[in-house]
Order: sequence, then C-alpha cells, then structure tokens
Amino acid sequence: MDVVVCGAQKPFVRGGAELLQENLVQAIAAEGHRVELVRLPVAWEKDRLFDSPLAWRLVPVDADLVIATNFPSYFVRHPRKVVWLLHQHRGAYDAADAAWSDFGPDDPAIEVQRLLSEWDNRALEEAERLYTISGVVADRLRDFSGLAAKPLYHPPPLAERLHPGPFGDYVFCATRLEANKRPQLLVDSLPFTQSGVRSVVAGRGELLDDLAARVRGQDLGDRVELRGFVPDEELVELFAGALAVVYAPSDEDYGYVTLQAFLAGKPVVTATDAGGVLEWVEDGVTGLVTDGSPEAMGAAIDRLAGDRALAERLGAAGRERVARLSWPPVVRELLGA
Amino acid sequence: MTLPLLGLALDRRPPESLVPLLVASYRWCVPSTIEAGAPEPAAVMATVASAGRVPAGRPLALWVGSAEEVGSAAAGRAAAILSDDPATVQAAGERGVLAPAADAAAGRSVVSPFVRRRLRWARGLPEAAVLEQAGDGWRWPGLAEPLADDLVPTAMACASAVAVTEPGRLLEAMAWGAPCVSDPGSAERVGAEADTHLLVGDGPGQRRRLAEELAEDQALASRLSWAGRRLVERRHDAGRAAMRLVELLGLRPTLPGGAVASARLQLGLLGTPSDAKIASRFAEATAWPSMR
Repeated sequence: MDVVVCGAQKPFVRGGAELLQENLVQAIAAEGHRVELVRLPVAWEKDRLFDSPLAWRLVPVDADLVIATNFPSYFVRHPRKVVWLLHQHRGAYDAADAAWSDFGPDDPAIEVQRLLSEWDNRALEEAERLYTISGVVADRLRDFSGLAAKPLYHPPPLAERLHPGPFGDYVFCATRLEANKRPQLLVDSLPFTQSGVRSVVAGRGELLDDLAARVRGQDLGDRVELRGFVPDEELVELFAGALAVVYAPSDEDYGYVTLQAFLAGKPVVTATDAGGVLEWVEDGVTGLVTDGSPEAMGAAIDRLAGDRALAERLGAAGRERVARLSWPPVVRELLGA
Repeated sequence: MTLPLLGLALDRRPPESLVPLLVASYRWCVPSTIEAGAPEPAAVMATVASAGRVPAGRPLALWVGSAEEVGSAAAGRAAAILSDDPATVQAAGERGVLAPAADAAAGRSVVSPFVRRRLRWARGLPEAAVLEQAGDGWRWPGLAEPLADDLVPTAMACASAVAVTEPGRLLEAMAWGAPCVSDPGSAERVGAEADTHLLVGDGPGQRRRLAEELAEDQALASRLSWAGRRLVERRHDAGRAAMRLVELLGLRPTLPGGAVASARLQLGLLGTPSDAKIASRFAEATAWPSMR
C-alpha cells in the first residue's frame, strides 16, 4: 500500500509531533508499505490561521491512503483519509485563555474561533476513521467539536533503548523548557525537600534563562544541574540512573516523558492538571500525583527519596503498564488491516 | 464557466416540492428541453411517467412519488433518484437525493457551544442561558418581557440551549447550531431523531428541564449542535442537495481559473463568509500582480 503521512511544519520548531510523524513513517515502512511524510508550513496566529488549512484543501496527495496527524494537516482531501489526531489548534480551543494564546474576548477573535470550529468539523468529519493519540485529546474533540474518536496509544521515542537501572540520588526531568511544560515546578519544589535530593534537567527552550535565574535566586546551584541538549545515549542513561522522574506539564496531550520514565522503571511525580500524563500515572500505583504546589511536589520527592522500596515498586508497576505498547498494532489499526 | 445543459422532462409543470432543488441546480447547469432539434442535454431530469421519452445514454435524474417507484424500470437506469419523502430517498440508497422544501441553512452560520460560551462571556451574558419558545413568545433568562422578534436569531446564535416547539423555528435554531429540545411532533416533522439530533420532551416543564441540563453538558451539547446542523444541511438545504445531484449526474462543471476557482469553492464548502479574513487574504494573494 502507498501511504502518505501528513503533518504541519512550524519552521525551526521540533518536538513531539515531529518525532511521532517520523516514527510512524518508519513503523509503516517496517510493515512493508511504501510511505512518505508530507508537511506544509503553518502559522498559528489568528490573522494567518486559515492559510495553511486552505493550502491543504488544494494540494494533490496521490496515495492509497493518507494519515493526517496535527492541525491543519487534517484538511487534506482524499477519499481514504484517516485522522490520528495529535491536537487541534489548542490556542483557539482548550488553551484559549492561556497567556500565550492570541484569542481574546473580542468579536473578531470569536468569529475566527467560530469559523475554525466549523472548518475543523467539516474536515474531521470527512475521515474514514478518526483516532486520537490519547484519551485527553479524544475528550477535547468530544467536548469542543462533538465528534467521537478512539484513542490509539503508541510507544515513545527511544522505547527500544530505555532500560531500568540503579535508583540514584537525583530526580530527573527531560522536557522542552517552555511555559506549558512548567519545568520551574521541579526547581521551585527543591527548597521544600528535606532529603537534599539533587535534580537534573535536560532540554532546551525559551525558559532556560528563567530557570537558571530561579536556581541562582534560591541558592540551588549545587542541587540543580541544567544540562541543556543531551544526546540520546546520555538521555537513556540519565533515565536509568534516576531516583524518579518529575514531569508536571499543563494539560499535556500525551507526554512521552511519562512513558520513557516507565520504560526505565522509574516512578513519575506529577500534578492533577497534567492532562494525558494522568492516563498513565496513578497515584500510589505508578507514581505520585500532587496538587502541583512546590510544597506538595517537594513532599512527594522526599517520600520517594526516603522509601526507595516504594520508588522501585511504583517504577516496576509503570514498566509493566507500558510493556505492551508497540508500533505494529498501531500501524495495522491506522491502515485498517 | 460553461454550464452543462440539464434537459427537463417533467410533464407540464414540475412537482411543487421539486422547485427549490431545481432553482438551486441552476447554479451548476442550464435547463433545456429534450424536444427534437434542441441542443443535446448532458443529463435529463424526468418523472416516472415521462422517463420513456428520455433518450438512452443520458444520465437520468428521476423524480419518484413513492418508495414503490424506486423499484421501477425507469429507476433502474437512473443515476439519481429524487423525492420529497425521506423514506423513499433512503430506499434509493446512494443514488437518493432529498428535495428540500426550503433553504434553512442559508444565511445562518453554525455556532458551536464552545463559541456560544465565549460570546456570552464577552457580552456579560449569563454563563448558561436557555432560550425558550413559550406561549407568549421567546423567553430569555432575566428578562421580564418576551424577546422582540428581531432579537430571536441573535439569541438562537448564543444560547446554551433552545427549547422550541414550532418546526420552522426548530430548523432555524438547528441551522445556527443551537443544542435543541423540542416536542415529538416537531422533531418528526423535520426528520430529527431524539438523542441523535436533539432532545425530546413531552411538556413545557420537561423540555425546560432538559434544556437546562443540556446547557450544563458541553459534550452532549456539542454533539447535538453539529448533528443538528448537519441534519439541516442534508435534508433542508436546497443548495447542498443540488450539488449532490450534479455530482451524481456527472455534471460537475469545469471551473475556469483552475486552482483559484477550486479554492473559492473550497472556501464556500467549508462555510466561509465573504467578509472572513481568509477570503480577503485569498483575494489579495490571487489578485493581478503589480507589474515591475
């Protein structure tokens, strides 16, 4: 079968969506199909928001089947269109009130939201089958668009290489340093710990300077290591040697970090508003769920530092929970095989 | 754009309920006769009685009066089967086209429950607001008097839910994408199914209670909003029915201007108003370039 995977391209930005699209292409090829990844540039701000969706309506995509992933790639027209939705334009929907969204309570902005929701429904309804990457994304689609979709879970990047290791003396956080990932929650929680546990943060992003300032301001220089970009080999070992992983983004779509932590046999400390992370982290079973305050996060870290048997038990349960995630069933479902 | 000819063999005058569809079809094709000496039509629309006069080899749209006629010999060779009876159209399967009595969707943009909430918030209106068609008029929360008639469409476009008991107004509310509650008779008249397109209650009290519950349930409201709008488009929108007919007859016109015309068509099909920002950006991008 000839398959085209469609995705949006935000020039100079690379994150979970790009990794998913590339890994999906590899997984489809591994099943013996011809497959290509097609991307068109997208602009997120509302004045240019519809340019890319309109472009997707017009480009010819010759294949036996197309798999559209994120906004606005699902505007592609094809008689056999399958949508595996990573997210709609979150700034116009569930995150409309977030500080980074440019949708205010003014008539022009609301009309853009109205038109976008109509366009979205028409394009998504064309799909032969409609899937989402997580239950959280399916819930959003149900609540905002009134459309039903089936969550289809997939393994994270590095799934084959991640492995358990000794429970070390640091908590680990690997994430893009951006507002919605809230990496500052880890830094801010450390002054509230009694155990003196260290932390290692891997990742780049616009919040790097802010994080460094927080570390200096709270005199945490000897307890927080901001590693910046970390190669894959090193990342795998950082997961393997951690006591636990701290990951508390704001209403995450899916959250690869959670799954990577579990594959390394580590429990995850998170927050009640972390979205897709909570589909995996069950309080006291595979990790610890807090209210997201620095005090509560610090207490959760201390609890694991003081009871390594608990950390091992939660980490093992997490590893068991993700053990069956693999690409071949995902590919078969998407291709209708 | 060169429009194809649609030959008409509808006896002396077309059935009354076919007229809106016929009028809407004229955007895509030009009516003509099938008399000897007339130009050859690209397709023909006929009744069962007149189908015998239709030359062989021309795509045929057949107007049928009953489900029995769907099994006739004429229907066997038809590319499209037209009726004003939903059950007959359903019996015709993929070839069926329902002739709507009106254009209920025209001029009414779908407003989803999420956007309705943003509209109410922006205007300082109640977080949840049920619009109710009562004995003395349309009732809006907090107002002692019924709404003035000219405000009803605005209220329909921003209410959390609408309780309505008149089939025409029910269609209007669903066209706006309002999550609706109605009575069994009105729902049946417009072809709406309970729990699929709207909620149904027997008396005013029950309908009000259902509407209040619907106003608090965004998932259900979103589902009914979109399903209701699509029902209006599928069964009460002559423009979309005409496009379906043109497609079944293979009369899809070749648009001049290639991609530009295709883009314009896509903008229309996606529901884009002519004053939308994307419409002006598109016009700007495809305007005559400045010469250097």
